[in-house]
Amino acid sequence: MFYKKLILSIFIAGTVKAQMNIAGEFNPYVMTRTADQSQIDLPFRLLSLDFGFSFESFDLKTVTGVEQRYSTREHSIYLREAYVAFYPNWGEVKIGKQIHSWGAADAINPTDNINPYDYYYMFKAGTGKKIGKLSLASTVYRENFQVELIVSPYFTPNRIPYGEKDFPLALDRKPLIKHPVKDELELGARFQTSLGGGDISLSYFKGTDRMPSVQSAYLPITSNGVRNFDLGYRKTTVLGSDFVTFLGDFTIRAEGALYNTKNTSIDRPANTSGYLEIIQDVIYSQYVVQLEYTTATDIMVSGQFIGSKTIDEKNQWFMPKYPSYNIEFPVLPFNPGMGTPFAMFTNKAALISSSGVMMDDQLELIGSLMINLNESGSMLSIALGYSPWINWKFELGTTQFNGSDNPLNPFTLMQDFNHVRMGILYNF
Amino acid sequence: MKQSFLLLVVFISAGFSQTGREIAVMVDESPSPKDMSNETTMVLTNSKGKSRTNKMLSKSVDGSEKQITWFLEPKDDKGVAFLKIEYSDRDDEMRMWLPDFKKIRRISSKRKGDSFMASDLSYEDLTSRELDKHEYERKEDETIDGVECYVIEVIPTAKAESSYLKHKSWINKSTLNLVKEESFDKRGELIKRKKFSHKKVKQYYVMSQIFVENVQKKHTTKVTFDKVEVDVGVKPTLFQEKNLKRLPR
Repeated sequence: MFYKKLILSIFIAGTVKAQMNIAGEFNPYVMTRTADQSQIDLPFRLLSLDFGFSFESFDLKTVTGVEQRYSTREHSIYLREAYVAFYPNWGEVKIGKQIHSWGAADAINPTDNINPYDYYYMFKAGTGKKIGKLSLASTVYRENFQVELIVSPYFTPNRIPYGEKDFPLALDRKPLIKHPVKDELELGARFQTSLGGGDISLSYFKGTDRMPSVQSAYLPITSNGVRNFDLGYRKTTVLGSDFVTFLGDFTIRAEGALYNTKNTSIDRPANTSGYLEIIQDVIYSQYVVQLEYTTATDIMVSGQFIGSKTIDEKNQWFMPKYPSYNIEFPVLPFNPGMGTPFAMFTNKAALISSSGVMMDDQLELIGSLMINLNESGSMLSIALGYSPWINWKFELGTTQFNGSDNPLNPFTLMQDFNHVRMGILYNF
Repeated sequence: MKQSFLLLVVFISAGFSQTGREIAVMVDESPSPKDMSNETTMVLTNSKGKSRTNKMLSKSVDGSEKQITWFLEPKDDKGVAFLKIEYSDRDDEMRMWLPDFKKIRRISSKRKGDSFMASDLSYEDLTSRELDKHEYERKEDETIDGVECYVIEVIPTAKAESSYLKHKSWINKSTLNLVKEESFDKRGELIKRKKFSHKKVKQYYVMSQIFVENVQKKHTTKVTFDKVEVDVGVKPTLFQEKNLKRLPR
């Protein structure tokens, strides 16, 4: 009782002297399918509320989201971030559920793996597509360099749409994770310094994949041809680097990461007859090179070359009951469990984007075109924002995928998602 | 006696025939605060008379060689912050904190002609002019609104990497403050007309208002500096990335 009173007194004393900060955005919108003008029924973030206190060298920050779905009128309120930040002279310390951002490039950041992604918001700019993660982060700033360390005690996977008929890449049902993550601790470190008129950074991250992968299987194949694959999560170590430099009127931002992903030890069933495990050790890379130019009329044009590559892949099934047996069992194509979500669309693409404001910031135009350089496929996105009054904006946009004859081409699959989006954005 | 007369002639002629550069040196050496903080209101008005207001909080040291600015309004820009550190021997450093992205974005200081927050002021307009990177030519003195002014033409050299061809500056003879300026684009055509107001804070004359008219775009920006404080001991450590992320208390 005494401690509760003490904590309450400190809280009240703190909040009386503290500066309260409230901000947020209200953003209702509808997405209409281009093909048949039907409404795309997916949950969306209707409201985002930032609330916090600042007191001396401390900040308390919370970000709350309200997610709405039109068809069911269901809504959910959830805490996207809630953390305490302390700013001593030497740097900053943050503890709680928070979103981190690493990397020099825009939107596509292979080095940025601390937070899982929310695939419902994968086309959203900024941190809106990330899920907050409980972590302790500290950054030390020195004259010419900074070092950031992040420790996270809990594993959080990506949020993937399941059973969403309006999201073409959604899985039919939530996969059963047979092998839960045992060692959840994740570590990240990043060093950044200024070099030759630009910035360069090196980063390291060790954690659990955000997407599940096959860990074990049972023989024989079932009568209907379905293999009994059991899912779990691999461990991945990421070495990354990014830099920004300036060449004449151009800005170059580049980022690359080397991933080494391995299966971890899993709990075996009591009866291991017909039970198989896979030993997987894969090295892959993801990279982005961005060239950016701002015209005299303040229109920013940027071109990105995005790529990913599997460098080395070792897959070997083995039977714990008969470890010396050489098992020939099919290996599913490798899918990265970490990295930028765009890698699921293509492993080589060019992205050209442009943004500009006119009419005294009243009219904002954003356009981007992603071209798949491996197989036919493109994604065109155009957005227009008109702000007739301060803090209000009317939004109109469209996203159009164009695939090939191959029905498994992700761009072809996403064609059904082609839509026009209309909404209102109010900042407060 | 002859020597004294000669000295007097030299003294008098020097007083009346200062070169453009000497005037620029006088302006450069006039007392300026070690540090300054203020609340800035920037009103942008387009050719149709429609206005938009931005509010900022700014702190600077060494005559704005180091400057940090936090944006307060409009609400969608709240939290955005800008850090500028000027260097004489290398490119300046400019960084922007974008809270929606939780990222500090290094931006190019080479494109000094880019507009600052869609205003009629460019990054170059917000940067101190280095004496040795410009040439100065004195013009006929003029009186502006009853204030006697030196008039000098400031011509950026290639080293300045300026977006302007030249500036014509009117400088108050008694306070050595800039009263008015006309800036010309690379084609030699007038692009901006600027008017400056100053007020005395402690022993310094500090800028209280800038009015900029982009005559080519028919667009104006009025910048008003309120709550001006000087020599309050702004710490050099303020000009670090981490301080972009939170508004000062």
